[in-house]
This record gives sequence, C-alpha cells and structure tokens, in this order.
Amino acid sequence: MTGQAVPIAPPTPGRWRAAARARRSPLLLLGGAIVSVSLVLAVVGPAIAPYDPIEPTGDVLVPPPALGDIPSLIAQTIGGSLERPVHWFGTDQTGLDIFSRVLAAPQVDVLIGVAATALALLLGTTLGLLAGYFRGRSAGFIARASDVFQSIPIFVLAMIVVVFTGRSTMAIIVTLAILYTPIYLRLTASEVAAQAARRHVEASRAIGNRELVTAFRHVLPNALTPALVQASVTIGWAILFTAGLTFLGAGVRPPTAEWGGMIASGANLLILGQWWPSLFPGIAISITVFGFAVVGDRLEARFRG
Amino acid sequence: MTGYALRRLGVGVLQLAAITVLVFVVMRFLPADPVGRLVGFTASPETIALTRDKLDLDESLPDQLLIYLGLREGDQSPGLLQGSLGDSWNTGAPVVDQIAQYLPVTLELIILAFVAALLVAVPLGVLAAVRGSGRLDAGIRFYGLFAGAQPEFWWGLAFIFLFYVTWQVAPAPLGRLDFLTAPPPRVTGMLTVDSLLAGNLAAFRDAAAHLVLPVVTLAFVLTGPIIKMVRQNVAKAMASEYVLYARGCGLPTRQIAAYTFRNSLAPSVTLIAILFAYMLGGAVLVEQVFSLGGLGQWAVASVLSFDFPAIQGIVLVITVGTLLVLLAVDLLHARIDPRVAR
Repeated sequence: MTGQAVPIAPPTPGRWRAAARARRSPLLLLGGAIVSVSLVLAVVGPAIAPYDPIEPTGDVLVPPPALGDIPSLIAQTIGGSLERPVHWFGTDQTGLDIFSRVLAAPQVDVLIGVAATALALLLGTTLGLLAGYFRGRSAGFIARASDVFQSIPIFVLAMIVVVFTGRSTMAIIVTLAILYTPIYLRLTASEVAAQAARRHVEASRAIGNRELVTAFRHVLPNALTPALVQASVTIGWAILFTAGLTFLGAGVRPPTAEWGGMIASGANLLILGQWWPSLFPGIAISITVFGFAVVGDRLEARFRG
Repeated sequence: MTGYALRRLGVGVLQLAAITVLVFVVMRFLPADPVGRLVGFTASPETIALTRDKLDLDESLPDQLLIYLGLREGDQSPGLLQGSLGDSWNTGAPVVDQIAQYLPVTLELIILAFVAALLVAVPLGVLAAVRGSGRLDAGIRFYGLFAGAQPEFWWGLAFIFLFYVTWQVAPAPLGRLDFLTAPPPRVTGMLTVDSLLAGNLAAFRDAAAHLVLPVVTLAFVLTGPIIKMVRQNVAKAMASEYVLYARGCGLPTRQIAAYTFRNSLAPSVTLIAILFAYMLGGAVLVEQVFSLGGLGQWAVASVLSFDFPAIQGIVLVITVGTLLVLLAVDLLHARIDPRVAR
C-alpha cells in the first residue's frame, strides 16, 4: 500500500524463484494441483476408470462402502484379491458405477472448458489486436457492439443455440467460445492501445515494417498477458456453464458421463435419502472449478499487481 | 439531465429492436423442427403443411418478421406493435399472461437473494480491503473465491438433503406454498408481498419459509463476485492520495473507510446491476432445484419444445429488464457525477 516501505527481494536464480514463489503461495500450489489432475483426467479419465462409464454393471443403487471398510477394501484392491472392482462411490439407479463416471466426466466438462476458452482466446485476441491497434476506426463500433452484447440474455441465447443445434459437444464449445470472445477482445484491445504507443513499436514502423507485421510481431506478444491470465478463470466458468446446461437437460445427452447430468439424475433420489449419486459429481465440480478460479486469481494478483 | 435520459432511452429502444430481430432470425436459421415437435414425427404431410401454415412458418423470413412485429396480417397476428407477444405454441396461452405469471416469481427470488448477498458481501469486501494483506483479508478472499466458483444447483440439493430430508426443518422443495395453504389474492404475483397486502400472516410465513433455502443458495454464490468487486474498488480508493492525506492528518481508519466507501460505490453499483440483470435468466438453476416455476424454468421448457413465441417473449422481457436496470444505473451515475451526462 502507498506510504509503506516495500522490501526488495534479492535477485534469485530462476530455478529457485518458482519454488520460492510456490512456497509463499500455498493456495496457488493447491489450485495448480487441482488443475493438473483435472487436465490429466480429461485425457486418461475413461481409460483408468475401473468400470465402463456408460455400461450398466448390474449392481443397482449400491451405496458406497462404509468408511470403516475402506482401508481393508483398499488393501484388497492392491492385493488383487477382489473378484470385481469396488464401487467406491456406489452405483446409480441404472447400475452405472459412479466413481468411474466421475473420473470419466472431465473428458467432457474440462475438455469443453479448455476448448471453448482456447477458441475464445484465439478469436478475442486477434480481434482485440486489430481493434486496439486501429483504434480510431474501430472504437465506436466496438463500444456499440459491446453495449448490445451486454443486454443480451446470455443464458437463454446460449440455451437456444445449443438445444436447436442438437446438443452436441461441439455446439456447446462454439457457443461458449462466442460468449467469452468479447472478454478477450476488451482485455487485449486496451492492452494493445497502451503498448502501441511505445518506442519499439514506433521503431518497427520506422524501419518500414507493414502495419500488420508490426501489430502481430511487436505489439501482440507484449499485450497477451491479461488475456492469458483470464484463461484459467474462463475455463472454470465454462465448466460451470456446461454442467448447468446439462443439469437442466439442455446440455450433452445422457448417458454421457458429465457431472451436471449425473447430479440431475441423482436429484430425485436425494429426497429418498439416496445421496451418493448426486454428492460425488457435485464435489468434483466444486473442487475443479475452485482450482481453476484460484489459479486465475493468483496469476491475476501477480501480473496486475 | 432529461436530454441525457431521453438519449439513453432511445439507444435502449434500438438495442431492444436489434436483439429482438437477432433472436428471431437465429431461431429460424438453426436446424430446429418445431412443427415435428408439435404434431409428432408420424403425422401426415397434410397435418404438417397445415401446422406450418398456421404458425406462418411457410412464409418467407422477412414476412414472418413483419407479421411478428405487427406490420403485416398473418395467422399469428396480432403482432408486437398491436401490443401482443403472440400465443405460446405449446399451451396456446397468450405469452403476455405467462410472463405476468412467471416474472414476479423470479424477481422475488433474485431481489431477496441480492439483498441477502449484499448484506453479507459488502461489509466483508470493505473489511478485506481496509485491513489489507492480513490473515482476515486472506480468509475473506478465500471465501469469495470459493463461493464464486460453486455449482449453485448442487448446493441447493445439498441444502435440501440436510434441512428437508435429514433434519426436516425446511418445507418440501416443491413450489412456493404448501398444498394446504390457500394462496393470497394476486396483486404483484410475489407471494410474500401479496400475503402481507392481504394481511394473511399464515400464507406469508409459508411463502417465506419456502423462499429461505432458494434465497440462501443463490445469495451464497452471489457473494463471491460481489466481495471481489467491492474489495477491489475499495482497495483502489484506499491507495489514493486523499487517503494518504487523511492518514497523515491522523484520522482513524474507520472514518477513512467511510470516505472511500462512498467513492468506490459507483463502480461497484454498475457491476452489481449487470449481475442482477444476468440473474433474470441465470437464476434458472435454483428455480429448477426448488420447483419455483419462474421465468428461467419457463425458458428451459420453451427452448426444449421449440416454442418460438414464448422464447421470443422471454428474450424480450429479460432484455427490457436488463436495459431498464442499466439505464437506472447510468442515470444514478449522472446524478452523482454530472460530467457523465455531457
């Protein structure tokens, strides 16, 4: 804060710096671990699941094992003395193994989040670069467009597009990408406008580089930070959005393993006291989105001061 | 000031027209088949042709738009300019009536949720900013991050499991009143308000009891972003020179915080207004979990059944609501800071 002495850290070799930072921010470490696990599961989740996530096991509505039995069950699993894998999280009303489905779901939820964010990042930074660099010609239009966009009922429009195009994974990715593009456009445009006034940009122009070369090679790399920092947060939002849409029956189709859909199919059982079908996918969303939010928040604090 | 308000209102009407046309065109371009959904996929070609004709879907796109706007006669007339939003293709009921039924439910839910969220989040945000970089600040930030990243529909279910199924202190999540409670005469459509107007305390207690869990659920996830906004804006104000000066003069932190609070209010209000507007449609998950029967739930049902007039009406009412909220905030700003209006 202003007026207080800020201690200046002695310079440290790069290798140690990362470790030192992580130690100072256990929260970032936690978030990073959550993000890493979810990204790994998005790739290998279905492969390491003990059961096929969309194939009924024949055991209907089996509750998870009692807490006291878990150590011996783990020992037996490791020892290989069990006939079939344990239903760690129980099974649902159609006999699907919930543990396997929770592990497999990132291949839908996290993948959609990452793909939608990557697409929005690509579109938003490109448009933002052009908008910020050629500010004079585009400022009015962008202000007008973002005004209109601000008053669009986003949730309803996203639902219309996803449902009307057949509720495919691709439809959700593209819809979310379009939804999040303006965020990146705005972040990049304002950063580009600040960068474009700098000397090295002037120098690039002075030696005869074309405007677009200057914009992409000398302005964009310096203006990407705010957009990249935002990416983690957006992935979390996209996961929440996907799960919410599917919970409402307007997202990916059953029996695809997807956290929101799993919660929806377990919701009616909850009243009957059968809590496990909706508990575990909910915890998975809660932890995953929190992880992405933490990483985004910590990166933001680091780069924006 | 009046000129500014009128100018903003004019821009708002243009935005509304743009969004109405956009949604109208988008719905008809996407590969959805409302006729098949209505008459079934085994219907005879004659039935299908008849239905298409009745819904004006056999007209060209510009003609359909003109009919909807009320500039041309069609089977779906009267149109917007005659003050009609058309009839739902699902139920046949006028869309206007359905809006009047569902909108107050959502408004009641989100107004109460915002009041609850603000009561918790604003003091926490200010406290975190004023105490800056202590353990308290870290704790509040952690809570805000957590709350802002939660699936509210799952928390709603968790609350139902704890308070209704396990401890049986909350009413069943099956609507806004018990089956045995007679609803108060309809005035605003908000049960808590109507029951008070009718002096019916039993109905008020029942309606309020049914709202506790939904409001808490929604307020919980809303506290996340609100804490973040308030904290950032107050922290920015706390770093300004007049605060340094006030500190130099030896004013107590409490008094300085009061100064900064007023100055950091304006940017926070805008963001909270945007959040409120989003919730007009975004509260759908909580409505669904507690079967409240609000605007969002109606939107889901209409979208899933390709009910074009209903969807169009929902988009219209949410857009109008959003524009009104944003207009009110802009006028408030112009009031606080006359430079804005110029």
